[in-house]
Amino acid sequence: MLIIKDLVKKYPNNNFTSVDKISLTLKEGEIFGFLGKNGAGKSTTIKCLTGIIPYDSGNISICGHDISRDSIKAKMNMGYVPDNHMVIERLTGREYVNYVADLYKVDKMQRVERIRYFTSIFNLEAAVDKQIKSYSHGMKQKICIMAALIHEPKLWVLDEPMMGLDPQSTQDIINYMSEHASKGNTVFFSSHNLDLVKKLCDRVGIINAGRLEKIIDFKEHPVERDNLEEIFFGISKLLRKPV
Amino acid sequence: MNTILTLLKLDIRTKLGLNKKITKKNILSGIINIFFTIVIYTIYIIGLYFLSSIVLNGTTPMNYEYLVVSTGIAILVELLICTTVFVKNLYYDGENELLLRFPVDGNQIFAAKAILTFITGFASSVLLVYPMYIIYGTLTSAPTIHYIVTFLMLPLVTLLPFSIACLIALPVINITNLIKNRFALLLALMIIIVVACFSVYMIILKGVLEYAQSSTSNLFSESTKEYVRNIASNLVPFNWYANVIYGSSGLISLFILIFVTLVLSILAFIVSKRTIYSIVLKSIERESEAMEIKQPDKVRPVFSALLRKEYLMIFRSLNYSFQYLSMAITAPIMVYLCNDLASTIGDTSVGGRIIPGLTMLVIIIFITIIVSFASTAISREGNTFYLTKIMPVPYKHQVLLKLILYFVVASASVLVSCIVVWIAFSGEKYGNNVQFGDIISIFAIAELLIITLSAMAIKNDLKSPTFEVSKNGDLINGNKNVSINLIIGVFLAVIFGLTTMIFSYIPLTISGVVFISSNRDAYVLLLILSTLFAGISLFSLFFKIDKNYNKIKDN
Repeated sequence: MLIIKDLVKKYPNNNFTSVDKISLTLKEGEIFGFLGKNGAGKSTTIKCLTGIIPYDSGNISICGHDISRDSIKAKMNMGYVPDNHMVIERLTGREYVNYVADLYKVDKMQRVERIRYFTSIFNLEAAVDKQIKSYSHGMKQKICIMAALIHEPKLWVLDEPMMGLDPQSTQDIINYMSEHASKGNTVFFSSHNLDLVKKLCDRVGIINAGRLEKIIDFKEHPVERDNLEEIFFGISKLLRKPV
Repeated sequence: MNTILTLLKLDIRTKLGLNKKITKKNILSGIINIFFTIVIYTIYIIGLYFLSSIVLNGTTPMNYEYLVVSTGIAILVELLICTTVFVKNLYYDGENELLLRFPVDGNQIFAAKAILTFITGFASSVLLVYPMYIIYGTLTSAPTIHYIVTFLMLPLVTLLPFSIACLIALPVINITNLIKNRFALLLALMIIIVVACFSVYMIILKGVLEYAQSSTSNLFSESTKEYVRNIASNLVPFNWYANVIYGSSGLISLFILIFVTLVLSILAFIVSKRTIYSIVLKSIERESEAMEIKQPDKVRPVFSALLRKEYLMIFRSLNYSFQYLSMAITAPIMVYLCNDLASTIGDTSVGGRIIPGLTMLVIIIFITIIVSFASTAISREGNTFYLTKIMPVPYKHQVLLKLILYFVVASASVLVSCIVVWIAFSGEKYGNNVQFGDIISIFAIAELLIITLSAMAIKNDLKSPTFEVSKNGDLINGNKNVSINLIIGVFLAVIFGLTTMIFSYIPLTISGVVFISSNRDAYVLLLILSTLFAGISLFSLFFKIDKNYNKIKDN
């Protein structure tokens, strides 16, 4: 589903390599948690794999399509929810989701059904025809999620999706992440919430100073699920060295 | 009192930009701003002096009427300035919400804002109104006391509109809120105002030119003068000021003026004290208001979805829609007025012969202004720029669409302008100097320059976009690309316009060989050049566009 091979990204005027030879393979139907302290390289990795920023070397392949060489096909298979929940605020929720649906060429029957379904599970019926600028943080996040899922992507990427959300919204999103994965799709999300990751993920990757230090498979090593905090803090203590 | 002074200092520092870091860039932009302010102010003073001398130096000068009318205009302008500053500072200042969290009450905020508004009003009185009185004194050889009296009058000239502004601020805010979301109405109003201002300016200019050319030294006929006299003598309260300065029933007028101003000030104070808190709170409470638009889910092709989104982004912002449309609508009117003006210069044949060149010049200047909006085409994506990177649409298609957006509006404007010139100036009256061939050539050259300037503008923005947007989603500042494109556009306009004008008179001969002998030859040359420019700018925009687009870093 997602293959990242030797990914390297270094920002200009920065002494550190933000992403240092990361390799990762995500399988169909799994939920993968991406952990790391602030500045570890989580968002940079996600921005590289979504095509937002170019990378220096390595390969990223989504459903067999290379993001730099065959970007349109790769993007067609992906849905992305950013950490800053930025959406086009002048549009109404419905206009925004329809706009994204048009870009991903979603047919009418599917989009009508999905918009109805998402507005219902995310409790957005009363707001969906209002301009997004009047939405709360959580509502904007939900619209972002609706737009990211309107084409039922095979790979769903979320950058710290629960940040600032109320408990009900968090639960709604957790439920849908499980539902999406149960259909054979892959969910890849970054988070600081270790409890959530433990509860939700099949595997986690811990990144520190741009390096993917450890990948834990909870199915194969269920004990590590309980020791996740210990493992995470142990890795996070490792110091970053300038290039 | 200390709190009010602290708030005032804070406001002044913010308004004057004193909180900004002192960097080389800020110093340079400060120097450029000062330079342009001095240039514009000098033009204002020279223009004022010239117009005043026409009114005050005729065979029957209208000194008193000049004072009434100039004071009237000045007070109306002051009223506009004070009301705008009041409404902006009290209602739209995001700072108020912040201030209310501190131990500061509504009256203190109001007092600080009111003092700032008065200072702004007084400064504009000194800079805009006092020169009128000085020029009046110079042209009428007034005694020294005139300059002292008029200077002492300035606080009164400021206080009256200031008090009225205090009183009308709330109704203005309410009306603004009422029509705030009626973009079509507001847009139409704003465009009408722009067109009216341009038209009045051109009509005055035409009048002045005719006056300068005619042998008689009077701008106005006797009947017009009589009419102006009647109006001026009854134009309360402006004639009170004129009476004080002119000296006729000066003392009585001064007392009336002080009394009326005092009454209005007290009334303004009482009203403001009662309403200020609700005004400040209202602005905070209204923030989250938004339109509700019920539309069915509809499938659109990718191109049409992108185009629709661009149009919605523009037409749901008054600022953007004004920038996008105002000059396009104004252009045909200005082309007509400029050519009309040109036809009054010199004899008909000379005036007529420069019409094609002038049309070219004005059209290119307007194209430049219209497509200057393209200089922020990428920047205006603001915080949602990342969407353009993640969507499964090639960058070249996204950029091409933006190019089409500006091409459509500028082309429509050029087409209408050309039709106007053809209908209005192609006849015998203008010596048959405007032929169908001229119109077609101007149209073709203008279309190519639209492509050139739009592509260049988008390319510049692509190279260095600024994604800083305000709370309402509008771009905070136009980036430097806007100025660069305006300079290039005006340069092209002058070169293309002058080339057409000059070669309609003088052939280009090198070593006895005639290279350009008529307008037609000039058009061919300009067509070749503009095709070349369009080709180069398109190539520059689309060559390695993926690489260049990928380099853009969002917020």
